[in-house]
Amino acid sequence: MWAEAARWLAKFPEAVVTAVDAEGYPVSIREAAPRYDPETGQMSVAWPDGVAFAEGPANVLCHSHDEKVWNIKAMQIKGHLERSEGDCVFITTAFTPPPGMLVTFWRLSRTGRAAARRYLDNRGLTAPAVNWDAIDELQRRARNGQT
Amino acid sequence: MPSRAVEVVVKYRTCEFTTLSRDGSPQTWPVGALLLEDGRFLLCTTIGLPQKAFNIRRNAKVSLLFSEPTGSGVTEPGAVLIQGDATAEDRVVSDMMADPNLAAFMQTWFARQPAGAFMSSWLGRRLLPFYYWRLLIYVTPRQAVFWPTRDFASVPQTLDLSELRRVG
Repeated sequence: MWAEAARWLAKFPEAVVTAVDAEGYPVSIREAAPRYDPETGQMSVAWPDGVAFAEGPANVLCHSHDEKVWNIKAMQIKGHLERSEGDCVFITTAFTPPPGMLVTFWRLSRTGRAAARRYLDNRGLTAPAVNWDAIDELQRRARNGQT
Repeated sequence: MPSRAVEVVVKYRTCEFTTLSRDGSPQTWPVGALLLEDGRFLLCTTIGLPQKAFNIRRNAKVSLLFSEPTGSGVTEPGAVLIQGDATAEDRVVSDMMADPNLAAFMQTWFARQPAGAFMSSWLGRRLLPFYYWRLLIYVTPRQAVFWPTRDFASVPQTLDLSELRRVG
């Protein structure tokens, strides 16, 4: 049932597992070499002592980028985290395969434009003018290694 | 000389930033974050992707996990988990030099992600006109832990938050 999630997860050497602690704060750790069962959607998690979590909603995020923070890849699985016989287990409830880079970009162009318009309309704002000169200047400083 | 934990939060290119959705489930994104002089973190998001800000306005509790060392140059990579309270301004910022902290954030990001200059190219401006309509997010740390070796199965060390305020 969760073969597609397993296939995507296998592309990454590590996974970030996030849950919520008893005080209501999110809490994340990394799981090295995740072992995910494609039949059950369960993944055992080596949750460390000293980092508290409460059983409940959780997610698994895998992402990567290169040395220049480009060639970004990411995927996420929704689920919940439980204790089972002394172990910690992530149980999948939903997974949507991430689209390719071009599709992601195209969707971002459409959905982002609509979301931005809603944000402005709901506040009675007009589209603000971007200070492109400032961006050019900050990029120039970045290229020149100025801090 | 910053501690190894501070080196992680200053030099790692991305962190895993989690906010809480309406139903209480965590939503996690890889993002860039800048440590400020007062020990807070600055992040930002475009109003084209405002979910982080909406979540924070309902529930301020967030976390930042600095655990991905690629590109950082850190030779002995560890990891830092920060839990804190966030604010997400309603103001839409379109001048990246209007705020010194935002300018520092953007300059750092441009240096770390040179190919991101596409977003301000002729094509980028037309495809993603909202990209530089930004909401500023500030995170005030409440507690933090440090793994010196990225062995996440080990018990982490408690991080004194005053270490973050000393550097910035």
